[in-house]
Amino acid sequence: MDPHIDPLKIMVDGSGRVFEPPVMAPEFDLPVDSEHKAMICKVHSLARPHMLSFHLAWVSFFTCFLSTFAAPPLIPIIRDNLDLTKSDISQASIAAVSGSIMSRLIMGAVCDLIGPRYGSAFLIMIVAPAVFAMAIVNDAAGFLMCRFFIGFSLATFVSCEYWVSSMFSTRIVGTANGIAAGWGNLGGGATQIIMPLLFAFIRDSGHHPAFAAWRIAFFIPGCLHIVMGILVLFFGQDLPDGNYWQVNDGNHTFRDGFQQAMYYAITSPRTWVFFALYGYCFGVELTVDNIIAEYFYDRFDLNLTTAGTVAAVSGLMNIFSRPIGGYLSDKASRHSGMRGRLWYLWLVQSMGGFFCILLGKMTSLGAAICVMIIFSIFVQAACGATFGIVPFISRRSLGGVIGFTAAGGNLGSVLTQSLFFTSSTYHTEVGLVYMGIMIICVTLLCTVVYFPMWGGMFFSPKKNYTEEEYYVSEWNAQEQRQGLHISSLKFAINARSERRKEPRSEGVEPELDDPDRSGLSMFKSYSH
Amino acid sequence: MAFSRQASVVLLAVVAFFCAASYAEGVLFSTLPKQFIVTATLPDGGPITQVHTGQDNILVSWRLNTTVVSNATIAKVRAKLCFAKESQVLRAWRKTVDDLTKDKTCLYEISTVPFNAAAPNGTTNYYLPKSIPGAKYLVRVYGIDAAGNQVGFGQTSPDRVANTFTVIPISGRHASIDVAVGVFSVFSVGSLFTFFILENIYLKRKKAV
Repeated sequence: MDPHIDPLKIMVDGSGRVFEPPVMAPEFDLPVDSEHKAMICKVHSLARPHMLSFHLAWVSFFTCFLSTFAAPPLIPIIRDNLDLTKSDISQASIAAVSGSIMSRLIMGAVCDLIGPRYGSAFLIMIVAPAVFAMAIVNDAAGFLMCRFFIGFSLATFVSCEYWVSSMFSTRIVGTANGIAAGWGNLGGGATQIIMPLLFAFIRDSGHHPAFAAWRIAFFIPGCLHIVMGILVLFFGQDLPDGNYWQVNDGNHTFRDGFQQAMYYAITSPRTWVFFALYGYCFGVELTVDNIIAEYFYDRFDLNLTTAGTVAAVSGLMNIFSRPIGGYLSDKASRHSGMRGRLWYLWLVQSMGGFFCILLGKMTSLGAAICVMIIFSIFVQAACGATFGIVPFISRRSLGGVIGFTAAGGNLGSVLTQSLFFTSSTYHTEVGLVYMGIMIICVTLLCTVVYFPMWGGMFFSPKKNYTEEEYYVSEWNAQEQRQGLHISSLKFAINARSERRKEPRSEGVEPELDDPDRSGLSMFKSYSH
Repeated sequence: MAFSRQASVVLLAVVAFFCAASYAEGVLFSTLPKQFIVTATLPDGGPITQVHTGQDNILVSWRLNTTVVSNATIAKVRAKLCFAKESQVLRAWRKTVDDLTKDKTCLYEISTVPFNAAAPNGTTNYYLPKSIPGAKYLVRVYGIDAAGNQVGFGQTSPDRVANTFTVIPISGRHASIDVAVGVFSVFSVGSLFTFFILENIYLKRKKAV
């Protein structure tokens, strides 16, 4: 129990909820908690450091999504220019998402070591040459190499989530992560409109032949990479109190080695469950980004720009669906703690699988578009819900856990594309049905997730096991004597928000008498 | 509630419209008589082996096949560039389907000219545009009636395997694109490392103070 928090000073709001008050920190524009993380997320503001870093994080991720999925809407032109076969195209699509499996794993550790600002800037600017190189490919092999290396940049997801998790407190981390990642994922949808429009503009107004226009169009995502990298370097800040090299905090002057940083991620079984689960919401979203424009172009005979627009609608749902996924996860947590988050995740992801099955069965254009929209909303909300839970799996290896989960997302995309959308033995629509069935089956893994201090979907928490024990146990006795665990301790106390809320019985004071249970929020009981 | 009911009625109407629209059927290619004899040559009359887009022309000529009798009146003649079978392999977007409204064999139109029964033979000089992809092709000519439906055809290759010619495409690359790629790539990596090095120097100076 942090000795600095006086239980008698804990505030009670209008609905009887008990929570940590914001600390006095006038140097920040937003109310902050004891770790100086913001307690609200003001999206229309550019307040330093929280909101400015938030916007830099999601826009750089948006840029990487834009360039990774810049090729799919132009495939009908590229496949003619480079004389590609169906297997060339699907291998390149798989390569685009498989490169980042490794890069997301590594990015987790990189963020733990040098911070998200350097991590994302390095990645964006080093991948920019691959985006430009797309303009000079001649054959299937070159196309595949370019898509593979551009796909590495999807690791900015990890730095984005890490950055947002470092800037926003536990109460709204789900919402903030959902907004940042959702708006970043928007790049996959926006690119399906932007690239065909750019192509048409360059071809018609610039009077270039089609086979040159698509190449020139790739310069725009490439230049965006350079611009965002520079902005992140100049205006980004790793932590609320400064950059990694400035902050003299126990957790950060102590440099975890690479293996140390990954250890607490790898040894937590929850990490592996989410490694699998995320593949069937985010992985499915990536797969759909890759195949949907071509699906509408070929099956429903739309022209390039129209097929791109229809495909974009799927990605554009990210504007609100992923943030709402995170927000509703936070709401479920306020009602039932971590168990509420788990139930909510299972429900939303299973609905995504159901609508995927339905999408494969639709034979007319209008119905297919409607079902695709609903499917996208559920799948993206599931992504948001996942990252309402992931920041709680480990504190010491936060980057490692995010990296593993994110890598699992990409692996899921590689798997679903290889299994269902590569061979010519069955059509894309049948592949969609099978993918939906697999989503529903894999989502059952939610039932296996268990936090000893909060319980699981069907299991109660261990008695008297506190958040402090869970997070501080990541540091051994010697490290604790050196005081290196202090920020984990602070996080543990703030994480009490994930406890299941018990009904208040009549006439009993909120548990201010019991210092170990303070911070537990209480709702009025409506059962009597 | 009233609004959501109206919205669902509109939605149902849209869906029904699309369902209805997708059931229209077209002319079947297998029913068309082979009314035309078509040849495709270089403008000087020699046989085509390979031609370049953006540079070369081909000369397409057709005449009526007197042995085939058909009742349909032809209003127009449309010549199209069609894929040979080997260029359709593993490329479902070029698939041959008997229903001509769904068929993707002939994606590039050469010309459409009115048909005069008194002078049924015709020729067209076709300048290959730069948008044609590299593949093996043949030329097919359709007779179109007044309603716009195909009523007869002829093609340069009997089975789309023999007597096809190769079209060599443009690459789409220019020297200026190559140079721009090099310049931008160097700028990106260079500015990153420059910033990193300068910031580290600044850090060391700050720590030394």
